[in-house]
Amino acid sequence: MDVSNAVLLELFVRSLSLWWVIIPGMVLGTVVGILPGFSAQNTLIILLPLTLHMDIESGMAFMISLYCTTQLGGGIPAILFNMPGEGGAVATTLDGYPMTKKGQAQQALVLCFSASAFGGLVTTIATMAALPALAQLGLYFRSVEMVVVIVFGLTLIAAIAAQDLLKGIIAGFFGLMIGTIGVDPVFGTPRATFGLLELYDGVPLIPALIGLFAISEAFVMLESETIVRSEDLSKARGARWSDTLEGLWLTGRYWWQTVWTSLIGLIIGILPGAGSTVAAFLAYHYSKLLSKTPELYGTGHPPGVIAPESANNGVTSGTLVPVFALGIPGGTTGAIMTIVLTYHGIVLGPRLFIERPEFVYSVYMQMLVCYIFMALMILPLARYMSRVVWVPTRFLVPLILSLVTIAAFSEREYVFDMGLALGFGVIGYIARKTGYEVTAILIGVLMGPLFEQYFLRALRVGQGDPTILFSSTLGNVLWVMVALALILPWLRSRRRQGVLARTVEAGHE
Amino acid sequence: MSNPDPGPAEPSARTALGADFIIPALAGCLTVYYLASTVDLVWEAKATGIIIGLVLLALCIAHVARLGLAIARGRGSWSTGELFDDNVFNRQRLGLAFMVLLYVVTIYWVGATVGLFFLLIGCMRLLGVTRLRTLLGVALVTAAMVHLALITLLDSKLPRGMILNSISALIGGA
Repeated sequence: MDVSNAVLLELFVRSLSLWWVIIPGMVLGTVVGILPGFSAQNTLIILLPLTLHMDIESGMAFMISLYCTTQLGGGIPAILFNMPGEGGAVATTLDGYPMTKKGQAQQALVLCFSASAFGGLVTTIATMAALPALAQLGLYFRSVEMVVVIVFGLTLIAAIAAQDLLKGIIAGFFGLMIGTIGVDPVFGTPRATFGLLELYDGVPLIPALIGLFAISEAFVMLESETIVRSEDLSKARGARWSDTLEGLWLTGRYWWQTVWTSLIGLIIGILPGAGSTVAAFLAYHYSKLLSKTPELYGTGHPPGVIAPESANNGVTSGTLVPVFALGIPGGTTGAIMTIVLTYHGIVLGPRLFIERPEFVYSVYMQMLVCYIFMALMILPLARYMSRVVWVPTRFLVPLILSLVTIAAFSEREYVFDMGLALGFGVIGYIARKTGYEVTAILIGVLMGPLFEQYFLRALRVGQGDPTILFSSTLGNVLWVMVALALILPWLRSRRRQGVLARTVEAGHE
Repeated sequence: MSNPDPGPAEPSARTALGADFIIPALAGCLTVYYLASTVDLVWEAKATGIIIGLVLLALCIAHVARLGLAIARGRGSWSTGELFDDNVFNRQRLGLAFMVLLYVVTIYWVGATVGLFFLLIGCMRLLGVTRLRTLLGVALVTAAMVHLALITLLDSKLPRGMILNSISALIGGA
């Protein structure tokens, strides 16, 4: 996959010309990031009718700019109100909020924005440099390996994201089972369609996505009256320009911290199921571990803001790697982008790097342009965006519910899909309340048809012998990793229980 | 030295595990239905579903056994906890779901835009917004923006309903 410098330059200029979708995406992403409850995923879902209608380049530029900026926006309420706007910003509260309490809110905001922008830039450039190697990686994956990769992805999501491993795996396989609904790919005979013609093409992905995430989240969200306390808003006011400049100076002082913690984010982003929350905590943990002054962490120490913020933006570059290289999304955002790319007829997987390498580079170039714009917007953002007011859930919930119901119509233009989204919403709500990971269900639904395609191909190669699934070295290595992903969390929890029991016992004695 | 056995928990301290059975039950029902509906098909048409279904059934059985054991040992109860409690949030959720369902069912007659207007008013009212001006303002602006963006600009096939069709006919539009 060789792309010349001239082509890269042309892609960069073309990405710059998409400023008219990148800038609105960034503004929207910042606002969405600030408002807890309005996640990047939900907003991408609400705006699906718009992105599906755009040409693929503009649609991707819009989604990417919105997604990347959301990670930045999530840090604002985390720093100002101790209320993370996004999961990835939870770790930012540890030192961001103490900085606000010390009267350094403006410095913390600049640190957050610059770490996000520069961390994102570093990882986007690193990913672009590594793309040829990643493309080669995809070629080693044939049908057998792809079956194991799908199982491995679901297992990782269950192991990392879910609180209970068994529940997580059940959720993943439940999703896979839903994904097998529809006519079979060989003979076209209906399977488990409940007699509904609308399900002959399989379970539509957008209603499943909308229901499992947006509707179920709206049902959960209504339990809180307001999200941010009004008295905390006063802290956002009264910032000075000298504080902003001091924040910039601190960013320069800790530049190396930004670089290496963003690379942690990149690696975590590539792994299915991990995501920005895990990346941010891991980066914070290692930053503290390797620091000469670990005792300052948690008291309003600048590296404690830089580490999680650069890591959660580093995740954004990694998220698209499994989507492009293997056609397998590692999380919800990847799943939404997969749906949009597939809708536009983009065939994901190793062949994408051979047939349309310039497309892959163009997407990363759009990300690069977005981060450059973001770097330019740091000062005005820090100055004014912190004044965004809170929105009560009594307005948020009706808006989310009504807009996503309409968005469910966009893929196939069937009213049936709107009802189906509500059905998935109820399932998603029950799953959330009972601790079954909805991401695993969604990835299962998404991967169901793909799993069937690779599984049948593998069986045909093996003339119906299922042991073909254990015939390749790479596949077997992946099976071992599946086993480790299943066993290690169980062993860890057993050890924790053992330690707990010994502590209780010592207490009794 | 043996591990201290905490014994059965107090009834109030037991974890409500009843709701934990719902997802495995749904998964189990779907699997059984899938297996039953594909009995007569050739192996290629049902192989994937059978493999996934059998693994899923095994996982569900293991989980249900684990839950049953916890209940038998007194650490959990059959209660479904707050999921089906008669509280204000659940009543609101039920109301919201009903209104969305009503919107979907009546969309061909009422239309996407007009229906959205009433849906927003209904949902906001249910969640405690009482000011008429706010209700009408938010609902009107949102419905108008959706109509402008999706129906006028993107030419979506969202049903327009009798009211908008009548207005269009009266003013000579499409």
